[in-house]
Amino acid sequence: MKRKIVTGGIAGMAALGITALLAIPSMAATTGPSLEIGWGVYSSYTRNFNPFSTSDMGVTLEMYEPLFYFDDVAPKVEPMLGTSYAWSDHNTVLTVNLRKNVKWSNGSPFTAHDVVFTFNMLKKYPAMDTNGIWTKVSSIKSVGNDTVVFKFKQADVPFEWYVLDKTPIVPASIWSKVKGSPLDFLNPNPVVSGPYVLNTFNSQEVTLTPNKDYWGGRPQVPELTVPLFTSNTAQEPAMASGKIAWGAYFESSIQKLYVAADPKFNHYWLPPASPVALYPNLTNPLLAQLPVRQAISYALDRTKLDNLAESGYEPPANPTLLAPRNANQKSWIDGSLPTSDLKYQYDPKKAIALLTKAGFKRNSSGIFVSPSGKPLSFNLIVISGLTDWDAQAGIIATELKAVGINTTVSLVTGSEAYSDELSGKFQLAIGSPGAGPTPYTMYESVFGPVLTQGNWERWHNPTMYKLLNEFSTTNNRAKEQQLANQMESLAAKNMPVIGLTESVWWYEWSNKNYIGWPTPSSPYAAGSSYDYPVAALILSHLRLR
Amino acid sequence: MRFFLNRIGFLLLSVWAAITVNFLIPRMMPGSPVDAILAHFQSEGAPLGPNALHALEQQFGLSHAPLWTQYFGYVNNLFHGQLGTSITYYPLTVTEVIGRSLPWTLGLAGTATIISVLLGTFLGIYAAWHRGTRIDATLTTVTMFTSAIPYFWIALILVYLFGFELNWFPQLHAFTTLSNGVPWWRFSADVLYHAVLPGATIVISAIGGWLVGMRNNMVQTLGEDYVTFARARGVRDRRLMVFYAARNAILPNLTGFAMAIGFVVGGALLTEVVFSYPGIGMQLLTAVENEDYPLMQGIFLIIALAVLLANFLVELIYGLLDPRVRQGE
Repeated sequence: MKRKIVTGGIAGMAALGITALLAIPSMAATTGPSLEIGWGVYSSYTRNFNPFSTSDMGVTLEMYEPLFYFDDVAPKVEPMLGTSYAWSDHNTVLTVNLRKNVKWSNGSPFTAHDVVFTFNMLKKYPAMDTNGIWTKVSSIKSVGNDTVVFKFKQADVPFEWYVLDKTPIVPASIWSKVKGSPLDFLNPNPVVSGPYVLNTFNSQEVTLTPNKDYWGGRPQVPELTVPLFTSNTAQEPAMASGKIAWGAYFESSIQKLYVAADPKFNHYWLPPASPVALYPNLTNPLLAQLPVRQAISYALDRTKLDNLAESGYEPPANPTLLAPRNANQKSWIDGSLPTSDLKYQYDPKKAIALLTKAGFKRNSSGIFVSPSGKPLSFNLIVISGLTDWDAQAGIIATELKAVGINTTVSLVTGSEAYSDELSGKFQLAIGSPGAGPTPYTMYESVFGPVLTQGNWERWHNPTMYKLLNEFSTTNNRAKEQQLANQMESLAAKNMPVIGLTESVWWYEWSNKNYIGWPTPSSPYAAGSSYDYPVAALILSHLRLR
Repeated sequence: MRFFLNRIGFLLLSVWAAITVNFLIPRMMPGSPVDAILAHFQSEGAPLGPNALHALEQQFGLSHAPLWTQYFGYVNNLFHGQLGTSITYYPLTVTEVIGRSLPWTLGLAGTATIISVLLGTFLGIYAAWHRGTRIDATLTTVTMFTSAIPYFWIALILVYLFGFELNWFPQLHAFTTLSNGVPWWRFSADVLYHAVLPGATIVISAIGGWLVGMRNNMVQTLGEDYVTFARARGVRDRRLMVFYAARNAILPNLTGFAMAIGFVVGGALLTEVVFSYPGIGMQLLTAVENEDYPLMQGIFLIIALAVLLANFLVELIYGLLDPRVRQGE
């Protein structure tokens, strides 16, 4: 099969006769074309393959693997460098069995020492520990070559996610030689455990070749090419033409601009990830009143938000903030909750009735005013440039106005929004709490006692705190479910944040050359390459059509 | 001598003012670089871990010290030639990032500026010599028109016509990604090929100013008595045009050129953005989007220094060429 020619720009290079020159095979004895993938938006590539860096190359995510993958779209855990794990000692000790016969890409064996080294490096350099592992873990040690034991300061079962899934393991033999802080290490020639290794690098393109010793078997795609894209707009035509076979980007009209270009091969799947929500600042005396928040919720037509702002790709959120269309989150939703707690209603009349009943009266310009004379008039901050959120904010303002709530929209930078949310200098904000393998992750972030983790609305509910605490100490699925049910009910009834739509994992692929992609009928992973560590998993599933 | 000392003093004062403004402006933006990173990951649907705020502040050494302490630290570092570490490209230093981008901007905007000055000046001379003819009217009107169009709009039109519709030139980037081991001349040809559209954008938008400036000066010069006298003495047309009229009329364009070279460093920001050209302008945009204080300061500093130095040189040249400037002190 003819090797595919790669160009960073879109125009043909034939004019300069460079085409022929590009067809230099970089790997012998492989079949099949190079797989081109779109991996994020950069102004130019920096040769930084440090998985602990915030400015590393996106592809680093497929090179370094964690111990396990907690599936974001299905209730299961996929073993990676680990094979099994167990909690003991009242859920304060986590024992992990490691995969045997794994080799790093330089041929040296992977052992428990590498795992212990990686975690101890985070301890030695707290600036690397973005997950705060060492705020929860007190020690880690190896038992033999294939087992590691984590001791926790106190029982915290849900935190296993950060230890097992969110921490990439690096080879001790390389990283122990790094001088100074490993964060300053660019790791230009990464030695990895994942399915692909670095082949060539320049500031506009990266290529990778299979790791022939990969524990999952040698990957079938002979070469990965990651051309630079400086914007989504630049990536769109390359995706539609089938040049880029794997993407994870927002596209306002996938069917028309992507699928229609090659309906046989171009596909997309957008499983829900986490809710997009309206955060009311509960320290505001008006927003602190439940009827006001309920009225806001009844005033919003979420189907309209989806259709007009999200092109119909991001369905209405659920009052529990969990997504029924996500198989994992669905498994946690308590089906016995009353309908009103399982589905947001759109009923502007009810919104007006609720406000009237709570003693609010409409003033001459039609805005409701509290008994003490304060008008329901709020400022809504939203990050400018996130065009779908910006559009949602506009629709929300219109719909709230219709029920007598005045809203002005302020478009701010991401940094300003974050700093306002941290300091509480806002009235309404649009944000998205991250989801995790269990509802605990999201609830702990949005409703938990640590404000900086995402409790922007500043909801302090002792019952919720107690439930969260109980959840963190149990490892019994039935008990977890029972606690989750109570938390769901509490969240739906108190409406501390108001769900809008469900954000999705953006994922587009072409199976023209390669098959084995995750699909709705084979949902073995979310397809978004940025969902660490799915890329390694997906790439080891691909095979020639 | 007094004139030079005076100018140098003024230069130093302006540099100090530029440094101080550079320091203050990024810090007046709401939020901080860490907030920007956290918001970015959150809006991507992959929020960073629960300890990220604390860890990142430590990593980037963000100081909560009083502003004036930070200011003295910053000035002290500058004196030692240190621009700090970029946050966007951590752990690359600002010097490294600028070092990677500056050559692209100098190459693109520098070459394009030289071309538009030469072309504009030459055409200006030509138009002035043939003043009142159809050629003069056409040249002057067309370039007045093109120079009035916002240059990013020209860029978009060029991309659409020659990049997208006709597919003659690349739409983006400074070079094609080529396999390793490409001979340098292929690479150079590729870079030139990619520079055609962005370069044309700059030339089209800048040429009008040079042309009209030169033409008007030249027309004025041609009306001077010494030109009329020379013509009466029978000096040949070509000689009259080049050595008598143009030579004197070109002075303002020369000083304008020195200024323009200073501004080249600032780059044609929007041109670079439209073409995703990896120059200083693109880096500045990235730095502002990420609230990357050190990178922003570094780039602003380079731009300010280039403009101030160009100004300084222009004044020196003026001083040399025109004794009135020196005497007027």
